[in-house]
Amino acid sequence: MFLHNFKYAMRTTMKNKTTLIWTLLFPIALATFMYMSFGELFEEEMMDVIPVAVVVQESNPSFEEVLASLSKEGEDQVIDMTVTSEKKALEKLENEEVDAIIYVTDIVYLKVPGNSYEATVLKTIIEEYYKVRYVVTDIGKTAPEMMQNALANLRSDNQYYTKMKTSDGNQDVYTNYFYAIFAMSCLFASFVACEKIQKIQANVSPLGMRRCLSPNSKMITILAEFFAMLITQFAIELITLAYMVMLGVDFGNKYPQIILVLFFGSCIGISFGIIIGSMTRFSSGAKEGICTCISMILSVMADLCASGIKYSIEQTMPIINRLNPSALIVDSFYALNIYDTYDRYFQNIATLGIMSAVLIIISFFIIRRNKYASL
Amino acid sequence: MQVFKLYFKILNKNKGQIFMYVGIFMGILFGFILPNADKNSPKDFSESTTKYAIFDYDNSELSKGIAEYLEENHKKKSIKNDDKETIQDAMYNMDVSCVVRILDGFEEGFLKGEGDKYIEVYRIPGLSMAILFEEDMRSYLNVVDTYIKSGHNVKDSLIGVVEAQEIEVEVSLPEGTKVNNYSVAHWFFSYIPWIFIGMCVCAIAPVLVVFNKKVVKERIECSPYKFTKMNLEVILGVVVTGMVICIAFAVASLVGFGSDMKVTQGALYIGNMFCMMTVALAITFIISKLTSKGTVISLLANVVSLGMAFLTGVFVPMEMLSDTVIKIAHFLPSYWYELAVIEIDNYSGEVSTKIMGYMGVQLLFAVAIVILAMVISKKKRVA
Repeated sequence: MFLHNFKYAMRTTMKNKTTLIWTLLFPIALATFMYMSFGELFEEEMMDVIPVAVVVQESNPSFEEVLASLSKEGEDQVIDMTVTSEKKALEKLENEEVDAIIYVTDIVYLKVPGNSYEATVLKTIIEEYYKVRYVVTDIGKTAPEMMQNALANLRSDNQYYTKMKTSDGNQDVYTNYFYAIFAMSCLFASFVACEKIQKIQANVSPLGMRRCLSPNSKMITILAEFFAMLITQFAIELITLAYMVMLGVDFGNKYPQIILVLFFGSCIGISFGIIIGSMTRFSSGAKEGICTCISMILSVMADLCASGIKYSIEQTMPIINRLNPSALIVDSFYALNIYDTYDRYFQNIATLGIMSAVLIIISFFIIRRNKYASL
Repeated sequence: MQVFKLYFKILNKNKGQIFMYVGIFMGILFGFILPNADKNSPKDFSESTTKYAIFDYDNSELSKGIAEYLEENHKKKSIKNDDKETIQDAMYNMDVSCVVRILDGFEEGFLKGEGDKYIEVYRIPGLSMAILFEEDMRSYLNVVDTYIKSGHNVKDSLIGVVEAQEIEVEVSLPEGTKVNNYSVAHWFFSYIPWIFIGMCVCAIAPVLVVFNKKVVKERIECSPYKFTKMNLEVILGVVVTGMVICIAFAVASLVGFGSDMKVTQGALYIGNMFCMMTVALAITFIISKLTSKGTVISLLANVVSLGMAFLTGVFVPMEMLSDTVIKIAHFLPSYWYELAVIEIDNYSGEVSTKIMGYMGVQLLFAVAIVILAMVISKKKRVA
């Protein structure tokens, strides 16, 4: 009986082409827009060689020597300098060809187009030069015999701290937006689930009346619909994943585990739609509205629109993130990408699985043995 | 006004969608944007600082000196603890860019030339904020080390380094240039395209779909109610809905930031918002002609509203978008809206023609979308 129901559930799902196409196009379109917008933002936050124009107003051989060493090609190159006249330098600054103009005089100064890390780095470099000059003069006064040692120490590449990193995974915070697309797409599966479940309710649709007359167990009907939708939704998520990987989004290399997240993500989205569809008090339109509202709110709370919201919630009310299916999906992706251990990942997956099972069981109890005084 | 009343009766069923978007907007605004907004940022150059957290287990003179120096020059933040996971989460979410752990025995180790074994700096490799911080810290420790190696004690070395740090290099901006720091009002208004499009499509399109239903249409057509009158009343309903939403947002903005805005500036923001509402209503109209399925309307509402938001600098400042994205954004009405918001934010007493131009482009987009919707509608009717 299950197989019979499942077969028809699959057929009706596949025949609902408009919804099917849009459900597939939705994450793909969003991923495309997002990639165009945020795809390279993180790279821009990485330090690169800073293009600068140098205007020599007064000879300052020691500083010019510093500039030459900073612009020496190689791994340690900090600036890419062009020595030019002030007029040309200003033109370059206006045309965004350089990030700053360094005016070389006895007291070196800077001109920048605005606030930026590059401008601050250049300011720090110049200040560093004067700092060294100050220290040398100071030590020259207080301990002249130690002058050579001091100079050697100031010029050394001594390492005073240990550089630590917490992960070898992709640290690009903007990837969170792509995780959130998956979360939203999974939760939007609730629309179809809600629509489908209403078709087994006698007080909502004529088809529901017909199906209620059959001696079919409600649990079998619900499970058949659930698995049919799950296969479709899961396939959609896999296509989206393949598309995003093709775009160049870095999800790490733990694909079997990622696929498991998508599986449980699809489960929770559908179960969520099933429970909303089972609620007898609301009209069909109201149920659609509830699906949209809850899916949107949960996805926004999981960093769909502004990265950092989920983290803010984690700092103030972490329990919300433990219960928000969108946050759990996003966090599973994050944990997979960043951590070496699977504790957090499995905790999230287990929560998603348990939530799906509980929602389906509750909806079964709502729908089973419904009696209608009049239809 | 039967149709007009009916319109609001059906809209009443979708009011949840409107409140949802208002709720999300308020949540993001008060929970995220306002706490992070830089309200009193200067209009001339200011040094970029790095957000960091520090855990000092040494509590020595030297470790306190470092902590004080970093606090003066960067933004200190506190994180729950220094577990690897907590540090990782804080760095990934940009709450901090670096975490410094000064271990017990640091000062002694430093004096022996083994300081590196006692300070750990967690950072995302290559990140400019982290490099800036690391370089600053290395330079500080280098000067302290130089003083110590030149025979000074820790106390004198710390005094020396503080004096050395007092040197300040002059940084200026080209003449007539101001640093573009966005006001809080700017952030409030920049989210409007996403909210308005999502809200209008989700709430109003299902109402229009009801009027587009063949059975309802035919029923009304065979009544003595004139077809034109019906259409006019539906249009009136849509316009009134848009006006009410706009007025609500305008009042909220005036209550929230009215005192920070000049009268003309406030009027321009609100005028620009009305133009965006026209676009949102036009998009709603075209979507109601494209599909009648509630599920598809919800999906389309999100694709259009979020898509436009991503491509036109609603969620991130426009200057962070690539040139290609900006070129594409020219074909989207919300881009012109965002340009107007930036111009209005920089308002200095004179209404530039640019602002009016940007508003005009939005209205032209609205007209074009409505014409397209009418063509689609006609084609569907003929088919």
